[in-house]
Amino acid sequence: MRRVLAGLYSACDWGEEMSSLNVFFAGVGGQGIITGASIIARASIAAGVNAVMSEVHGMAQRGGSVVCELRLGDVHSPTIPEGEADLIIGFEPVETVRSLTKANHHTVVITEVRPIIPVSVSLGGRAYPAVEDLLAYLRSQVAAVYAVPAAAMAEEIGLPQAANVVLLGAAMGTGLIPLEFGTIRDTLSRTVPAKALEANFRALQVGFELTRKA
Amino acid sequence: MKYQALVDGKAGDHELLLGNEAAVRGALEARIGVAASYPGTPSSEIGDVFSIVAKVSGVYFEYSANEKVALEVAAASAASGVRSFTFMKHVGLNVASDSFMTTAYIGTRAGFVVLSADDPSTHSSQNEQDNRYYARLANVPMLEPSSPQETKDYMVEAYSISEKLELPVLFRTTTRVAHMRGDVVLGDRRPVVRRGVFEKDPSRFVPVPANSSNMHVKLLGRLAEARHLSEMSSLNHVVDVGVGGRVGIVTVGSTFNYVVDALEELGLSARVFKIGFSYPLPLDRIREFAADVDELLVVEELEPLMENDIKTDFLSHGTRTPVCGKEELLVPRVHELNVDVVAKALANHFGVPLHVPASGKVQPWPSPLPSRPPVLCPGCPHRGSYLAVRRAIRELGIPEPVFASDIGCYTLGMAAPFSAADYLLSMGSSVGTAGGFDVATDQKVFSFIGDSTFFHAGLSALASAIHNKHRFVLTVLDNRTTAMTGHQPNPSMLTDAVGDPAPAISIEAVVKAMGVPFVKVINPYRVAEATEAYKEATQVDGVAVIVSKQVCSLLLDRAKRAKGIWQTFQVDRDVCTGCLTCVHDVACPAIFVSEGKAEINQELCDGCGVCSQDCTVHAIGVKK
Repeated sequence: MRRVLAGLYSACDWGEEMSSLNVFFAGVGGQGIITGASIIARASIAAGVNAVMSEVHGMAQRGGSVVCELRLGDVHSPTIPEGEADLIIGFEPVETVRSLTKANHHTVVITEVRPIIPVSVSLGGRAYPAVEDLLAYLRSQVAAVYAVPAAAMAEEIGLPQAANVVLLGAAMGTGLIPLEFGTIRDTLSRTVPAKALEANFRALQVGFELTRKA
Repeated sequence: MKYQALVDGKAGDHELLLGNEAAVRGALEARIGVAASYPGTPSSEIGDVFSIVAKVSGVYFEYSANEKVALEVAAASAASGVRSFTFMKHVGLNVASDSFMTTAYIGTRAGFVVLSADDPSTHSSQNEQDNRYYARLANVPMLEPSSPQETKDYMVEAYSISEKLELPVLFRTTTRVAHMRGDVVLGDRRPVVRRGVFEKDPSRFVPVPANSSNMHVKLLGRLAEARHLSEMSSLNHVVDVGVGGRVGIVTVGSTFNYVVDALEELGLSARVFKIGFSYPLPLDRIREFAADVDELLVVEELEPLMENDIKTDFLSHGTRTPVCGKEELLVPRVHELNVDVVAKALANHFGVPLHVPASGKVQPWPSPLPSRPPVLCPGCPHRGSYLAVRRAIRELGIPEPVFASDIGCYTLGMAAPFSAADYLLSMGSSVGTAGGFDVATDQKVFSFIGDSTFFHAGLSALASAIHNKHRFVLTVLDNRTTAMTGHQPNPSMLTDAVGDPAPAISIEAVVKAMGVPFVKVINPYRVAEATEAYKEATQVDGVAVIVSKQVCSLLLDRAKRAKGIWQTFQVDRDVCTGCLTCVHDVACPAIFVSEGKAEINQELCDGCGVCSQDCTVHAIGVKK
């Protein structure tokens, strides 16, 4: 791509030729997707790097497919061209697989493993594929797949709403996002209510540990 | 306070803002005193932000009953010397257009900005009309930003232009600008001017025929001045991509972002004329620009408006630089553009290969994935209303009923199993079209309208239906909020746009006062009673109104959680026979099939209990 930003991040690892990072979020309305993406964007701007995001609001209240696109670095358009996502963060297995139009063979995928069965399936529409099959397919197509039981981990922490923060931690653990863990942590502390802060920090940490070790 | 930075942020501060949030900051920096709106996506967050920041900023903000009223409140405020702002979705401007057209004739004293948030690709709308036509129709200046930063900056500029010309300014965004989030460097914010004086001048403000014909002449004079401002404006400027570009590209709004990214992706050089003050176009400057390039490409979303203006201008001036637009570049006239579409058009035109990811694209999942369209939420009260109507129709054996629907979450009732939306035009159209089906057919007509939509455009339609003896069953789905756009208040509620106490207008009282012979309030969570009400209503020879009253489940859930009262339902798998009646009748996102029997997702269930009333063997009960 274009201008190299590596110099901006002495502690981080932008690839030599990478001038921008495209992160595609996919899930179901109500999962906290925009909040998760905004935390990375805000942290990025705090670190002095351009960030643009595209969101779709409106008809997608609870239950519909929702996507959010985030681009860091030297870009204008807030939407990611086809096949150009560097990182896909899927909040639901089928939605993760649906977002493969944005992936290439170098894309890294983080995906929640717990399905949310759409009403269309119950009403006799197309069957919901087996999660193992979805994961195996993802693995056959992209560079790396991290299967994260984020909802279960957030429940264990006692804050089910923090599944998005577990996934955010997992994204940081991959090392792809050129930001300091502390910057994300600071931004998170300015985003969530004080009483939920400790649980959110734990959610961030468990997600981070999971992919960093993997 | 949420959005504190929009109020307190200092010049030079950086904030990550949504385009719509940036519009509010821009309006505050422009010292507006009055803002009025009717919610509509993709403009809704502007009002959501004002509802929180207006009072602390000293701005008056209201949700009016519809966009026309909102525009009128803002227009009269501006005529009184207070800078005013009205904002709406693109089709909202259709509603407001009657008054909007005349504001161009009578002009304004203080700055007056009308923001139209257009929705190419109809992400949340019934059409993708190009409201840039409105600037041409009304003869008013128009600005179009490309980013949140420009949205803020252009708002300040819009007020200055409006006052220079004494005209309203049309401020057009699209979904990809309104819902784009990016870094915004704030400007100075000074105290608002909240009160003015209306100085009378009938020759100027009362467009009776004797005055209005002169007003048109004056308007065209102002438009010529606007053209001059556009020629001078820094909002119209050239951006060089690469070096030594011999091709010129004229572009505007979000398309500018796509053009720059596409050129860089393809490794092409070009001179890009970025248009921000987009009507009237700076045609002199575009001509000069064209003289220095080999050819001129015009890349714009939806209609070829700039293209037509430029081609006509070049023809009349004998400018010989070739102009390539929609047809020549194969840029579609439908749907929003993006980097992929623009890159394809440019690659094709320049004869260069399309950029493909180094590693190659991946293959999609080999068979179609289960679809996940938006659906009525778990606990949505509309589900009970639709279930009751469908039951009443089935039990009475009514053949081929027609469902006249309206604009709101309840339009989702179009999907199976309710199939309760057969015809839809616009806000309030359920009432007028119901009358049409009644006079033209022998079919039984059921129409559905939301509480907010009822006040928006249902009232006058209902008066018309009653007076003309139309026969149909009108359900006002009164979920005590304007739900689909994000829970804004409406005239039936006890609080106003900024959270102050307000007189609530009872829908049932209004309907009764209008002389409707059958008015019944139902609770849609009590399906059997609701069904009986519908059976009665179908017997009425005239308009029958059912007010289905139950607060939106998203709001109710929030309140229940805050109070710590929460229950969910579960299926007793020993009792469940696997008939799946609940699955097929209720179609709740919380119900799914597991090993042939119904199961309830405990995370999604909100405890409304509608499914338990539908179960033929009483297998569904409160989870102990």
